[in-house]
Amino acid sequence: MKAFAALIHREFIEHKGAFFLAPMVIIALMFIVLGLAYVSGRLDIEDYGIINALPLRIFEIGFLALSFGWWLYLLGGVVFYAADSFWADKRANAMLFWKSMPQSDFKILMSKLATATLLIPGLIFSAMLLSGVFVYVLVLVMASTTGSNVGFFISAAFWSYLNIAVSLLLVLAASMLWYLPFIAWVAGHAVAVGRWSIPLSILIPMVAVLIENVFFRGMGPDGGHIWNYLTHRLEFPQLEEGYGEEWFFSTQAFDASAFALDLIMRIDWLQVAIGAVFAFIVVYLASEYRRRTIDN
Amino acid sequence: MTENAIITAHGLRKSFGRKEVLHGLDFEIPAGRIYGLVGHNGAGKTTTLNAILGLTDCEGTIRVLGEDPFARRAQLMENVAFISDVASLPRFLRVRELFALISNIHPNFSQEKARDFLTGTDIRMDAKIKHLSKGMIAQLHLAVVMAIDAKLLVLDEPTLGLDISYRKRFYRRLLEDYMTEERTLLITTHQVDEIEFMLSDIMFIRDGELILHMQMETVNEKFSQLVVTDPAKAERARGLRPVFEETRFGQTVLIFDGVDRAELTQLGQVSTPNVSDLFVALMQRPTANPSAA
Amino acid sequence: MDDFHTGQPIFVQIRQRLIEMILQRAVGEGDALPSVRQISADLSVNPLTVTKAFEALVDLGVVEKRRGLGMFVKQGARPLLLAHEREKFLTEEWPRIAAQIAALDLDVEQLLSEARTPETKGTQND
Repeated sequence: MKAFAALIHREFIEHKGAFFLAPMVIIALMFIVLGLAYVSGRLDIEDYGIINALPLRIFEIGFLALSFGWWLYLLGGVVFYAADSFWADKRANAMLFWKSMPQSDFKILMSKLATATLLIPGLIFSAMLLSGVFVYVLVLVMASTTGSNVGFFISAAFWSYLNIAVSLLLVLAASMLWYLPFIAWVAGHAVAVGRWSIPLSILIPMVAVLIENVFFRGMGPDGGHIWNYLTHRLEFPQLEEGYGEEWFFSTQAFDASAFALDLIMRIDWLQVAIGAVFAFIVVYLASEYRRRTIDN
Repeated sequence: MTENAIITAHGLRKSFGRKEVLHGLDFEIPAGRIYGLVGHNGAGKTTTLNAILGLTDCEGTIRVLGEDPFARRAQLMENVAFISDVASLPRFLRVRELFALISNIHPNFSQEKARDFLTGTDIRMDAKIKHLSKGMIAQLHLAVVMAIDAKLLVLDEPTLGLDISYRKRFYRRLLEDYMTEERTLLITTHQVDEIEFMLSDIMFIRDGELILHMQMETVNEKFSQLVVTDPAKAERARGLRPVFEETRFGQTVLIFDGVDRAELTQLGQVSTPNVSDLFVALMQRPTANPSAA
Repeated sequence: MDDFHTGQPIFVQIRQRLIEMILQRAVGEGDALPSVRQISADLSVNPLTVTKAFEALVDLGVVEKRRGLGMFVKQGARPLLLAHEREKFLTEEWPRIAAQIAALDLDVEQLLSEARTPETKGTQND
């Protein structure tokens, strides 16, 4: 597995700009702005009464909101990365180099998929954690200027931080599992059509939907089977319901185990399994295609 | 099938759509040889190499180190190294990152040897590969390949576009530091004159067929070149049925296949034809005439 | 670099070069000759060809291979080689040259005395 790790490391070197350096720069800027605001006395929040009342809740919402932003960044980034990396070896004649190395096409493509679903989420997770620290510091500073119970905040927020961190990790894992077939679908096309993979991977299902609606109208649900399945499958399990709602309207701190339980029950694991099998087949077919192409 | 044949091909055939590019090649390449593969662009040279390297699927059988290259490319590449004419190292890595990567994905690569082969060049370990000149990338790629303990080395036009000092250094390095009795080398090049004395065997490929496959020793015994200045003698020479004739600077150069040199020495200066002249001569023959070593 | 095309096979030409080196004392008895690899790299010639060049010398008893060290000139190689080359000259080349001298109607005596004049000191054979 040393080879597999080395292949992932190579992907990291080539893509660390978007998934490591850029987030770090953004977070550094956030801290700098925070520092500047503090130094220029703008964090006097007599006006922000709510922070007085519920610093913990504000922290949790802040942490979750920023993480949600990073989550969207991740999903977009992973899709673009998948589309790009699966044909990157064709550029600058690099394919011949890879073909001269004793690693199968399948293994190389799998290492790119692993980068997409493990490494990159891992990097974004660190961005989320640092954002959490940011919010923690921000709320801490604001709360301390109003003289509210800082001691309580420090320890309560710390535990909350841990709970949210664990929950975010679960969300990341679940997202990657849930969206695996879509990532693989886009990636697989890139092997054949390169930069046209994103448009093409949207076009093909749309054509299928169109065909179904034109020729088989009325035989299925409104919009057709395909459309309904796809729109349903693209939606991540609604986290605002279930535990999300419960937590929001309570005064309890964020509870990872309750969240985890809720999440696990909300996910359609059968679909996840089908998705994984689909992804595997797509990557396998892509590797067989790649095995036969020597155009650079 | 010879015991120690590194490559064997029987009825190797390849078509692209309706066009057949290889017409059933048969050949065996024994171990420890330095083979030259010469042919025009489009003659089937690259397709043959691709078949050997498992890059393309073909009809017929081909075995490299006993394996089917297309089915087992990844395993085969542990013992086969190749460089092609296109500088194809990953551009976004630094040299030291490339070495680290290859050490981890290639069981027979020695990072120490690779660094060693870079001494005396201007290539720094920290340099980004995309910033290296074409000649330096070729040197780097060669250093990588020579640091791989491979049984078969395939070079496809490795010196194309490189200046003469690089080319000389390239081949010198190969002969000095790499070639042992256990290694086999297969080279294709347009600049065949440069390497003709390095070769132990030669293959000419024309329109998907092997029109020559011989040891260089046999080539040197079988083919003769006669240079004649006297037109009368030139006429007599023509009577001996040369396979090739050309007049340059008032001299007539003729190439003979299988004619006794004793007969030729009376007519003019006899020598061994160089490979490129022989190539031109055989390419002009109306029929493909495969000769075995 | 030689034009290896004229006349003799490459291994013969390399062999002659090695013989010259020994006769002219460029390499002494007991000294190492350049290795097969070195010669092969210097001349861009196949190592098998170079090995073949050495073989004839090994057969003559002039050169020996020491495991792991390379090719060495044996003791007594020079006189042995000299004798061999002399014989080759006398049986193969000299008759041809003598015939050519006669055919061109040259005087052998005159040729020799010209060759020995002070301006062009003849080589002393020992």
